[in-house]
Formats: sequence, structure tokens, C-alpha cells
Amino acid sequence: MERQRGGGTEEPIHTAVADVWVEVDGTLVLHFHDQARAVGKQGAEVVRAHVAAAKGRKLRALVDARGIAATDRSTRQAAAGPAIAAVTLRMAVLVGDPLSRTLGNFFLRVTRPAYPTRIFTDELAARRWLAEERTT
Amino acid sequence: MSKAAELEHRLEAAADLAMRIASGDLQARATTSEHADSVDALVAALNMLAEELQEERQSRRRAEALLQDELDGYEHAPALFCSLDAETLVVDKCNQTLAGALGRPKASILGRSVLELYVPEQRGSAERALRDGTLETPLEHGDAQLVCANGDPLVVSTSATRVAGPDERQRVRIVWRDVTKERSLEAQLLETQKLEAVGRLCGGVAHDFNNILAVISGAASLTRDVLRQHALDDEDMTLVQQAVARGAALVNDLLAFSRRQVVKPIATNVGGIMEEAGRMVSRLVGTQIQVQSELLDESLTVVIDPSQLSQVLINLAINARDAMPNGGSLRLQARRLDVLRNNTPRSPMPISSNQHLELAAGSYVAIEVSDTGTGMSPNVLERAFEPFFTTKPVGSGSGLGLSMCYGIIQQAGGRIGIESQLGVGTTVHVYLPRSSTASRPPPRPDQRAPADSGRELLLVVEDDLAVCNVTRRILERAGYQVLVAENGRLALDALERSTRDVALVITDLSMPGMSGQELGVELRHRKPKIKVLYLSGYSPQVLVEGGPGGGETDFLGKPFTSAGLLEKVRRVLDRG
Repeated sequence: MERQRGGGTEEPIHTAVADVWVEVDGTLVLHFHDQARAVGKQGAEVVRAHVAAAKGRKLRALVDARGIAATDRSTRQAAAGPAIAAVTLRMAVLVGDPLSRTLGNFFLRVTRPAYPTRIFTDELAARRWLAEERTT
Repeated sequence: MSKAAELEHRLEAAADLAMRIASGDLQARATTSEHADSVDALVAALNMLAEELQEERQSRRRAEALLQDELDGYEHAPALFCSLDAETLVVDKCNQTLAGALGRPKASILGRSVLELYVPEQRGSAERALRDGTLETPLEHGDAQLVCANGDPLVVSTSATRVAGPDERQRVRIVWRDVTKERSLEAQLLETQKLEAVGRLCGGVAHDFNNILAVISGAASLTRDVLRQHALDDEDMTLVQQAVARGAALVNDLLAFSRRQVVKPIATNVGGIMEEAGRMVSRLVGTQIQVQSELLDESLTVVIDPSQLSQVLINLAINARDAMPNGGSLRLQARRLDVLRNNTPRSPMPISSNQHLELAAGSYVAIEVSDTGTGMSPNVLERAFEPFFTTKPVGSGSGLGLSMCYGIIQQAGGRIGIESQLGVGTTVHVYLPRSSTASRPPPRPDQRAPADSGRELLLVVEDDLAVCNVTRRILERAGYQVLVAENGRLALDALERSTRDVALVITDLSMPGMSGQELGVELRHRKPKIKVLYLSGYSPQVLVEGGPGGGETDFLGKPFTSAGLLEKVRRVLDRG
């Protein structure tokens, strides 16, 4: 993931807790910084960055949440809501430690995003699953 | 701190967080460590759980507030709602508006058959209508009468729908709209229109009768004069004159009802009239009846002919007296009533007890004449204002008393109504527009007795040949020279042709073609100095309000006696 950061064809968008870019194959990558707390204004900024990076296209999204330390309800609701659904074909959420796993699972099971979502611990598996969906 | 101790400490903190959330503290949160381990995962999960529960609680509160708002809307909607089991017709839900309209608690409606809410005679038809419905097809079965806790009827228009209930039993949802006032006003309007029509008829009949009486009276006067000149007995003519006077009084009552009586409305102090009427009433009703006269406010001034207001009060008192053959209490009361917007006054009004009298916004003087007499049945009450309707024995009453009161009050721009209950008593309510003008005493009649003869040339304009002849003969016998014309146009021709100045035109008001009033206007235009005396069986409002040209109007009502005519003619001629 580190290797590819900023290596896309489009300029990455940096926020206080995450970076967003679109790769050559049309995959939108959202990378949370280590110990990122996606709450309040910072959480809202990440959602806005995701929408802005998609530029109205419906893309596969790889969310690297392995560094995330906290989310709040409004951020989760926004991430699962219509604005992100409008630009997302499917979303793979990469998790690592127990904390990120819990946050990811909560997002998947309780918040219930309005687009196909899966949790992965392996980035390649995540990319494979995303690749099953062709970019429109 | 050892790792084990630190772990134990963090687990205890997580447990504490869980306890706080479980006890309802949904604001409780804990921070995670940099370890991002299972304990942090547990803490994060608890934090998120608390957030979700908090949102759930807020969402539930919002839903409850919305539901309460809808319930309030249901409870206090302008319509009357209830729902019932379609088979048993037992009410299981109703709104507060229905309970309020019926004047009974909801508990006394719920759990009982809806049919109990109907007046007994409509229960059968209501049951058939409610049972006949099919699913989702609205049942409209027109007006129905429900019965209030105090026994009053509540007229409602009904719309009912049969729906499937949650337990597969069908239910009936009923929406009633209270149309009691609406129907009452419609009935009142109908009654008013009926009285108006009868009034017009009475007015016409009275006018013709007055013409006939004028001829009889005039001819009797002339005959009596002849008899006296020859020193013969004139008693029969006196009897004729007395009969004419009785007939004229009867016709006068009819005119009062038809609002065509000659009136002189002035700013009148109700207190003064009540005081005067109270004294007279005390003498009229006898000692068995206790008379109480109350003036609850100062400066109760209305614009009305004071003699007519007295007439109303005395008539009502006589009715009250007749309703209390074994004695009782008679109360006359006057007070100020301010109606801020078009409204129904406190008391149920007129014609029948379940109808209401609408008063336009404004300030009124409310007069009540109450008795503790026999009261009236609803049937009698409905017809109380009809002319010639009476419950008194033949010969005891003309049936014109209340009709006359109705006409007088209507003519004065007021309203009158009756509230009565059999065995309890009757209250007549009179509402007259309050005047801000200070009252003044009625003008004193000119006490000077004028001469009853003259030499002037007069023109009599009258389409009724008999009245014309008798008028001419009375005037000629008194020395006047008289021209006659049977309508306004011929009168103008006669004036043009006359070689001598006509001093006075005596004209009937109601004539085909050019009316007396139009003739008056024309005369003022052509011959401004000419005097005009109007004759009529009744007085149209225009004369009451100032007459043609706005100047002083001379008027003589029919029937008149020869003395009355000659006195009036002389008075008009002699005025500068």
C-alpha cells in the first residue's frame, strides 16, 4: 500500500487523518494514518475527500483501516450513506489489529453500508475481490 | 506497573464502562490505548454501542413526540372520531372532541355500543347503516342525531368506513361532523323567511284594510256631523267609529309585525322605559306576581321609538302574567352585551330552544323578561312569533302580541328570541344595538288646537276612489276648495292647469305608477314652496328616515277621523 500511495494517475487528497487517491486501474484507495481518529470534523473531511476523489465516478474502493483508532457514529453513518454509495461499486475494508477489526466489523454489521462491503486482513485478497467488479 | 496489572486495570475500566452503559448512562465513553489490542477493541465496541443506543433513544423520543402530536391532533381534531368492532358495534376508541361534544367522559363511551350515543328513535336506522357497509367503502348516511349527557341533541353528519382490524375482525371507523349550529341556522333562516313572507302579506292586507277603514271612518264622521246638525241620534255612528278604532288597533299590530308601522326612532334610555314599564306592569299583573326590575349597567341607550319599546315590554309582561295564573315571579333585566366577533349569545335563541341566534359583532343592550310560569312546549315555541298563533282561550288574545314584538325589534335592527321550558318558565331575550348618542326625551306634541277649517285650495291625490271621495268631502265640508287626482302624473297636470295656487297637496304614498314619494320629490323641484301631507296605510322606511328631499315630513296614518284629518291639514298649512 505504501508503495502505491500517490502513485496513481490522479493527485491524492490529504486530510488530517487519511489520504485518498485513485489508482491507474480505477481503484479508489482511502488510507487511514496510524492511530487515526475519524471523528467529528475530521471524519466528515475524510468522507468529503472520498467523494471528491471519485469525481462522480462509481469506483471500487479499498479502505485501509489498519491504522484507525476510533470512529464516531456520524462518520460511520456518512460513510455508509448515499453520498459514498453514489460513487462506490463495492468496498473492501482492510483491518489488522483487534481494534481495527472491531471497528470494521461494527461498520459492516451495525452501520450496514448501502453498497457491497467486505472486511479483509489480506490486501491481495481484498484487491482480488474488488477486481471481480468491473469499473463502469 | 506490570503488564498483567495494567491489563487487569484496563479490563476493569472496560467493565466499568459496560456497567455505566447498562445503567442508562449513554454519554459514557472510554479512550483506547495505543495497543489497539482486544481490550481496546472491547472498549471501542462499547463506545460505539453507547452511541447507537443514544441515537436509538433520541430517535424513540422523537417518534414519541411525533406520536403524541398526532394523538393530540386526533383527540382535539374538529371532527368527532370513534372506532368500533363491526360485529358488536362496541366503541373501543374515540377522541376527546366527541366526548366534549357529548358532554360526557370518554370512559362512559368506550366499551359500550355506539348505538347508545344515538337518540332512541334513530338507533335502528343507524345499526342498519353501520352493518350494511363493506370493506373500504365509505358509508355516508346523512345527518343523525346523537344525544348529549344533558339530553340535548347533537346533530352530526356521518361518514363511516369499514376496515380490516389487526385481529382479522372488521372494524368501523366513524367520522362525525357537528352540524348542530349549521342546521339550527338553516332552520332559523327558513323560519325568518317564513315570517318575512307572512309579514309582507300582513303588511299588504293591513294597508288595504286601512284604506277600507279610512272610508268607513270618514263616512261615519260625515254622517255623524249631518245627524248632529239635524239634532238626530248619532249613537250608531259612534259605534261604527269605535269598531273602526278597534279594527285600526288590530291593523296597527299587524303593521308592527310587518315592520311597516309609523315609527319615530330616537336615542332612548332603556332604563327610563323599563322604570316606566315596570310601574305599569306592577299594576297590570296583580299582587300574586312579584315584579323585579333590574338595570345591570348604566347608559343603556338604543335607537328606537320609545312608545314601541314600552309596548314590547308591556306585551311580554302580559304574556308572562297569563303564564302565571297562580302567581310567580316576573323579572325585567337590562344589561350591556359586547359581542367581539360574530357570535351566538349566551342564551339559546329564538323560535325554538335548540336553535341559536347569531349576533353580529358590536355593542348591544340585552333585555330579558323572565317568568316562572307554565313555559312552552317545543311545538308552541316554534310558532310563537307567528301572527294569530295563540294558546290563549278564544277571545283572550289576538295572537299578535309576540308577532308585534318581533316586528318592532326587527324594525329597530335588533333580535328577539325565546327560551322556554315546560313547567319551569320562559325568558324572552331582546338584543338591541347600543347607541352612543345620549338619549333625549321624546318631542312634546303641539298642544295648540288648530282651527279645523279653511279656505285654501287643496289637491287630494289618491288612487282609491272611495278614500279619495271621503277625504274630499271632509275637506270641502270644512270650507276648503279641493281638487282631486287619482295618480301623481294627473296631480302634476292639475297643478299646472290650476289658475289658483294650491296651498297643500295631500297624497297617498302607495299608488301605481308615480308613488306619493316620487310626487313629493317632483313637487319640491317644481314648486318648492308647496306643502305636502302624506297619507298611508303604512309608513315605508324612507319617510321614517326623513322623507323626500330630506326635510321635515308631514304624515297622517290611515284610517283617520275627520277631526284628525282637519287638524293635521290646518297644522301643516299654518306652519311657516
